[in-house]
Amino acid sequence: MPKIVTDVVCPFCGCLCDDIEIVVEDNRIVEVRNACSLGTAKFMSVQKEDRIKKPMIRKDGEFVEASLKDAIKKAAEILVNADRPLLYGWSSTECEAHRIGIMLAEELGAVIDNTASVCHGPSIIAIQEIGMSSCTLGQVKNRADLIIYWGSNPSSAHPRHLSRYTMFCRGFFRDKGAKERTLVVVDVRKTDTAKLADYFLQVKPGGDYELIQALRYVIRTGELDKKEVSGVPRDLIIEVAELMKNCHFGALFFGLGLTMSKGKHRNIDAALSLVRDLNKYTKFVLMPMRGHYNVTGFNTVATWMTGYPFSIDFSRGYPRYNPGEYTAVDVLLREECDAALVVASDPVSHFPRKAAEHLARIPLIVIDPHWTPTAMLADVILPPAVAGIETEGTAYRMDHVPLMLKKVIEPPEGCIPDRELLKMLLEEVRELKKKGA
Amino acid sequence: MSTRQLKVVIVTGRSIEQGVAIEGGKMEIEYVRACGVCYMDPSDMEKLDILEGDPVLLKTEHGEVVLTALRSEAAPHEGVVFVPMGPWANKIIDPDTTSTGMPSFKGVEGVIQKVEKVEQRPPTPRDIVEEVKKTEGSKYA
Repeated sequence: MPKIVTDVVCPFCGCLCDDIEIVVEDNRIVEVRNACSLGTAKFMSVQKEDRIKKPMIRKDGEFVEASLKDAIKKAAEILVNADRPLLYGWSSTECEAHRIGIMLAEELGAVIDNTASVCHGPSIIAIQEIGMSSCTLGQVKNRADLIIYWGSNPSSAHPRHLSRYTMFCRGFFRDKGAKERTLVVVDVRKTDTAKLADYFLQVKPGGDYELIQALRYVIRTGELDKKEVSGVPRDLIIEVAELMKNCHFGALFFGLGLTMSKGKHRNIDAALSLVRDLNKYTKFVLMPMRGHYNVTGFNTVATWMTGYPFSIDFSRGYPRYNPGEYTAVDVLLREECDAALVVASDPVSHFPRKAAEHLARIPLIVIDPHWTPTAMLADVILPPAVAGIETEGTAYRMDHVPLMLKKVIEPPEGCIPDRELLKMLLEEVRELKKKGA
Repeated sequence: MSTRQLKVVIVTGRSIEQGVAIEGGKMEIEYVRACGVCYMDPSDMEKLDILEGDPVLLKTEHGEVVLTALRSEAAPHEGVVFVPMGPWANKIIDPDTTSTGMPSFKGVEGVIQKVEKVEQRPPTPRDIVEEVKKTEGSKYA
C-alpha cells in the first residue's frame, strides 16, 4: 500500500515550500505532489543510479570502496596534517551539521566559508553597513500591494515564490489576490518573470546602481533631467517612483543580478538606501532571494556561534571575518589552502575555473550523495543520508523562519546524516591531535 | 576569410533546466544540454549567420568555451548573451572578486563567433574533470 507523507518541507531553494506531499511505496518515492520541477527533481534524485552509497578512498588514482571507519580516519589525517584547511559548502544541509562543522573548523584552525560568498555575500556585507528593513514572507502575502523583483528571476530559481508568497495568492488584507497587487520587474533580459510584470524596466548590464540612485532622486524631488538612465526611459522611472511612494506596503526582492554585477555590495547599499528612503512615505521592505534551501541557516548558525555569517578564519584560535580574504574563491585563487573539505556543494562546477583548479592540487574530502565534478577530484568521499528526504533537521527559509525538515524514506544502508559523519570526523581529529601532542 | 566576430556582454545565472539537471545528473549528458548552451538574441544570431543548435565559440580574456547556440526567449537583448551557471560559464567569467569574495559572474565582456571546425562541441562533464586534472601542479599530473 502506498503511504502519503504530508506537510513535507522541500529542500531545494530558499522558499522552503512546506505543503509538499510525497507518495512512498516500499521505501521508494513514487510521486511528488505540489512541488515545482526543481523540488520534484530533488526528491526523485535520491533514487537515481548515480547515487554514491559507499565511502570511497582514492588509491593509485582510482576510487576504492572503504569502510566508513577507514574513510573517516583518512579524512581526519588529511585535515590534521594540513596547515590551512578550507571547509566549504554547507548550504544544502541541515543546521545541526553546520554546528558540528564550525566546531571542526575551530578545532583545526581552519577557514570556513559557505556558498553565500558566491551568492548573497555582497548582500550580507551591505546589510552590515546599512541595516535592512525586512519582514516575513507571511507579511508580504497578507499585506503587500506592490511587489518588485530586481535582478531576480523566480520563474527559474524560485518557481513557487510568486504563487505562494507574493503575487498569485490571497492574503488577509489582500483577499482579491493578484487583482490587488502590482508587479514590477527590473532585469537585463525579458525573463519569464518579466513577462508577467505590470511594469518591466530593462536595465543595461551593470547599470543597476545608476538606476537605483535615479529612483531615489525622483522619489525625493519628483523630477529627472535625463532622458534615460541605464537604458530605462525617464517617464517609466518617474511612474515607477510614484508607484513606490504611493503604495500601502511594498516589497523589493533582489537576486544575483545585483550581487554579481559591477558594483556588487554597493548595488545592495543603494537598494537598502532606496527602501530606507521609501519608509518616509509608506511601508517598504526588502529581502534577498536566497538560493540554496539552507544558506540562510548556515549564516544564522555561524553568526550565533562565531559572531560572523560567512568567510571565517580560525587560524589564530578565535574567529576573524574578512570577505575578500577568507572567502573560498579568494583562498583558492591565492593557492593558500593545502587541504579542503567540501560539504554538500560543487565548487569545481560553480567557481571560476582558476579557483577550481587549486582543488586539483590539494587533498580533497567531499561529503556528497552524488557524483559531481568536485567528487570526481576527491581523495575521500563520504556519502550521507540526504537531509529533508532521508533524515530530519532544521532549515531556515529566506525570511529567517526556521522549519523542521522531514524524513520521508530510509537512506541506503550505511548512509548516515551529515551531522553524524561530521561528528565522527571531529572525534577522530581530536583523537589524532591528542596522539600528536 | 576570417571568422566574423561579435562583441557581447555575458550574463550567467540560473535556468529551470539547470536546476533540474544538477539534481543527481552532474556527470550526465543532460547537464551539457542544460548548461553547455548560450542563449542569443535572434538579431545577433542573424548577424553571425548562426542557427539554433550550432556550436559557437565564446571568448573572454579569462578563457574560451564552445557552447550550443539557442534562440533566447527573453529577447530582445541585443549584444547580451546568457549562459546558465555551471562549469562551462565558469571557464570564461572574471575570477577577480575585487575584495568582496564574489567573482564577476555577470557583465563580463567577450566575443562570440562560429566555431572554426564544425566538429567542435561543448565539453562533457568528464572532459571538464579531465581539463581540471591537467592543472599545473595537479596531484594527478
